[in-house]
Parts: sequence; structure tokens; C-alpha cells
Amino acid sequence: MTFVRRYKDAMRRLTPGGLSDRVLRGLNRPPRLRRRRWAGAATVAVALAVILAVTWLLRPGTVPGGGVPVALAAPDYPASTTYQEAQEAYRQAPRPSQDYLTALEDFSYAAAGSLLKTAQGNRLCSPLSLALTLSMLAEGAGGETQRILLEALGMEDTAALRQETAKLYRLLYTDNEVGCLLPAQSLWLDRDIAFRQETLDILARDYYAAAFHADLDAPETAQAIADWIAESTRGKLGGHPDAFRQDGSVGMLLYNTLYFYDQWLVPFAESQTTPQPFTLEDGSQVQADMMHARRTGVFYQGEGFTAASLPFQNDARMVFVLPDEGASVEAFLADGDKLARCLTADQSPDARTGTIEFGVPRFSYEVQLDLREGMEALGLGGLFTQEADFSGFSSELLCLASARQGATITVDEKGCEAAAYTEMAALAAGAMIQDTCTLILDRPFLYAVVSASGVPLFVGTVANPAA
Amino acid sequence: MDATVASQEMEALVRHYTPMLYRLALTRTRNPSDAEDVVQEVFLRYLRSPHPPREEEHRKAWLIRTACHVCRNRAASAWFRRTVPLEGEIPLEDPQEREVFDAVQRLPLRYRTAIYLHYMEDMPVAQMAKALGLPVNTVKSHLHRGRALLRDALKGDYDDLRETL
Repeated sequence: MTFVRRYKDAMRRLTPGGLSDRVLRGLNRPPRLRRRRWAGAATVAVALAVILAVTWLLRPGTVPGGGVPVALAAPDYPASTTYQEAQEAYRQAPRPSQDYLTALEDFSYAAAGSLLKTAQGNRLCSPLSLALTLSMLAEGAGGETQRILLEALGMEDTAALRQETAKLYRLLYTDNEVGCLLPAQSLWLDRDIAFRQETLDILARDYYAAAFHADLDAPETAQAIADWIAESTRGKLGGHPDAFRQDGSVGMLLYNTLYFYDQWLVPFAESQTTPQPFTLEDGSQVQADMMHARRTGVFYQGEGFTAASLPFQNDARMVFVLPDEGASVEAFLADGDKLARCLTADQSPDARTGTIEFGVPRFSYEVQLDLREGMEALGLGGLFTQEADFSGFSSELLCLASARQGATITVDEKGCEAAAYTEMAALAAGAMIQDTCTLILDRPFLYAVVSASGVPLFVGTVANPAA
Repeated sequence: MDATVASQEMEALVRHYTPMLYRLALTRTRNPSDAEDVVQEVFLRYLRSPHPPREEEHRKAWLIRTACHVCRNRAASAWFRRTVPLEGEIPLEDPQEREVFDAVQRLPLRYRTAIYLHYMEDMPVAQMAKALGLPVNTVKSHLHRGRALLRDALKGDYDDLRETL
């Protein structure tokens, strides 16, 4: 008998009968613990519904036990395609209205200016990721909260926002052998919160948002969120669950992720990449790996900068804006209009066609952004106050506790890979909205050790902790 | 999405891929209990994934890659290192089958995985390379070394271990 035959027979004999049934039953349970040497016979398996059946049969407010998040709504994502199919689909796809696209562009440049102004060093944000998260939030907001969200997004009502967002999602979604642009959304509701299924269904249908019921304080949920972000950003973000642990006050988490990868229409030749000095803001220099290429294209010179772009294979492009010598990038972040003008200058009527000598340094970095200050500058401060209204999700939610974004980008000779996630956390009713105080004991202070009955056991002062 | 269709699709997926994933996980973890846990974890991740691949070849590659990833995570966990793997639970009564199985299980992990995917699942090298995220030549090298070690362990009893790719 051959090795192959014997090996196959052995492996088939080792595959336990009924395994698929157990897997199907167990999908809604955490993995069972390894049996110890002294353990008895096989553990008892409790029959539970398949997770997708639970998704659709679950009545509002009912929650199965266990620490593993339960899916409440699941979107039907577009299929991956070939590059040729993607080109054809792009031509045929119903487009969002020009009004919506203009409003989205205006919001994006305003948001980029506000967010990047609050950061230092290498900066990065995803205005689209923020816009899609705020759009989801608007769907479940009421009253004045919904009004300020719609106003920031430049939309009249949620019905229009919903339709246009769905068209935008289908237009943008790209997954072919050349590159991809993958937006994804999810909603995580605490298991003690009663929620409105109708809102979750709208979010699944029009925003392609998956919804989960989970114990938001449980480490398993933090792991599930980290895994979800890692999956939807092809491993570029997410990962460590500690970044997603909650403290017991959060009732809902909203996420958008965006993953982008595309190849340059014409790649840079690696043989042309050479070390070259890069001058920092303070005048000092560092060495950068500079990629070189000569291309025929459109460029703009004027108003204190030069701008040109390089196209990707799947129709996106990367715009580069170089402030004139002596000018700083800060001036361009001053307002959304100025930022929009310089980042679209290569498309303006004053742009010229000619030969462009490109020198682009390879770069790769990751950032974390607190969005609150930037959102307040966009008129969205009301989301963080006691007056916020998220009753469309649940009557048991208060205001936003936090909003943040993680993002990363890599640019090299082949193309660009970038990813972002936006997280918004809403407080649960019953969580105390507290004033904050800082107590840093960095000068002489008093202290006492006091017994449970109130008697001071020791009293002292610290004049110098290093003595 | 229609719940009935979705449930049926998921059930078909689980029934089709569970045996392959279980055997792969058993090959890597050497423990039936862990292997079953790995299979559940892989399907849980598939359900939670916002962009699960739909096309057959991509889906198989995704499932294999995820299974290897989950096995690796379990091996690295502190809990795993503190506990003792259960031995003697491999129910193979035929001594020659036992000998072949043990010889493969004693191989280093990367050779063991390549031997399993190639000989048990009949995967061509190109498909294995894609599923494991490795260059084709690396996979060929793993198979070559794995077969050489098996020839030594099994004392040249099997002619088909001598054939080249």
C-alpha cells in the first residue's frame, strides 16, 4: 500500500463522526476548554440555534447568555470581482447625486482641516470614515442631535442620506486582483440595552452595517472587536484587544473601517530609488528613500504651492501638494476651502499639461486621533452633551463619551496601502456623566491613612518624595 | 439577506469544510480537543468577517490561512503553555496507519502542514502557496524536506515518497 493511501485512511479514521453537527451547534458558544488529564468523559453539548438563525429570530430585547457577541443584523456585501468586471460595474453603477457628492467633499475637506490641525508630526485622517460613521449615527439620532448631524453632512433628511450612502457604498466598494477599497461598518450594543431592531435593519440594508449584542465590558468582546477591525482592514489595524476594552459605562459602540490598496498605473522603478536629504520644518535634514519617475500629466503652480497627482490602476489618484520653500503645511490646514483648493488644484482650469519630474519619498506610519476637538470645530459638540438624543437606537443611551480614529498608510514603488477605523462610544443610561478633575501631586501635599471607622491612623505631609 | 438561504449556505459551508479544517488543526495542534475548538473559532471568524470571500478557491485559502493563524495563537497563549497536551487519545488501531500518522506528526510544523495539504487534500503547490501565504519555492522546499524526513522515519518502505513533484 502507498504512503498516500495509508495516510489518508489514518486521517479519515481520526475525523470524529458528528463533528459538523457539533460545530454547527457550538457556533454560538465560546470554544470549550481543553480537558485536563483527570477530566471525565465528553462534555455535554447544549443545543443552540445556528448564529444566523438566531440573528433573524431574535426578538427585540432578548439576549442569549454567554460572553460571545451575538449577531443581530448581517449585511449582504457586494461580491469580489475581476479588474475588468470592476471597470464595467463602475460604468454601470447608479451614482449618488452631485449634490450629495459635493456635500460629502465639502464635509471631508472641512473635517480634514479640523482633525489634522489638532495633530503633530506625520498626520493622517480619513474624512470618509468619519462621514460614514456620522451618517450611521444620524440614522439613530433624534431631534436637535439629528439636525446638527445632517447639517454637518450637508443633507436634508435621513431618507436621502440613506439612499445616497447606499449608492456611494456600492460605487466605492472595490475588490479585484489589482486593488481594493473596502468600507465596513458595525454596531455593538451592550447586552443589557433594549434596542430598536428597525434601525439595525436599516443600517444593515443601506449602510452595510453588521450589528452585535454583547457584554461590552467582557474581554471576549474587546477581542471580537479587535478581530473585526483586523479582518476588515486586512490586518493593518485592530489586533490588540486592550485598545477596545470598555469601563462599564458604554452602551453602544459604532465602527467604520476603510481599507485601501491599489497599484500605481505605472509603478516606480526600484532601481531609480535613491537616498536623498529631506528637510524638516525646523531646517534640519534626514535621509529619505526617494522614488523617482518622469510622467506626462497635469500640474498646478501658484498660490504658494505646486500640485500634481499620480493615478492608480482602479481610477483613484494620489495628489501631492508641495508648499513653496519657506511656507509651511500649517497654512493649508487653516480652513477647509484652502485645503480643498490645493488638493483639487490638479483638476482646476488653471492646471497645465506637461512633463512632471516626480521625487516621492517612501513613507509608512500609523496614527491615533482623538476626534472630539475636531468634531466640536465642525459644530458637533452637542453629541457629547447631556442633550444628545440617540433614541433611534435605544431609549437607554445618553451622549457620546468618546470618538477616535486610528489610521495607517504605506507608499512605495508599487502603490499605496492605507486603512482607518473610526470608533464612537455612546454612554448607557445609568452611567454617570461626571465632571472631571486632575490631581497630580507634584508639589508638597498632605495625606492621611484613615480607618473604616473614620479614625486617622497616620497623618503626614510630603515635602520631598525623593529624600 | 434571506435568513433561510443564509443559514443553509452556512450549514453547507460548515459541513463541506469541517473535516478538512479539523484534520489540518489536528495536524498542527496534535490534540483532538484543540482541533475541534480551532474549527469552531475559524467559522466564528468567518461569520464575523465583514468581507468573507465568496469564490471557492479564495474561500478555501482564507479558511486554511485562518486555521493556521488560530492554531498559532493558541500555541502562543500562556494557558496553553501551562497545560499538558492529552496523549494517547488518537484512536488508530492499525499499527501501520499509526506508524505513518506518528511519522508525519513528528515532522516540524511547516513540513507537517505541507505534507498534510499536499497528500491528504491533494492541493497543488501553487494553491498551497496561496493558502499559506508563502512563495511557491518555499512550499516546494517544505515538501521536499518533509518527504526526506518521512523516508528516513519510515525506512524507505513507501515508493511513492520517492516521487518528485
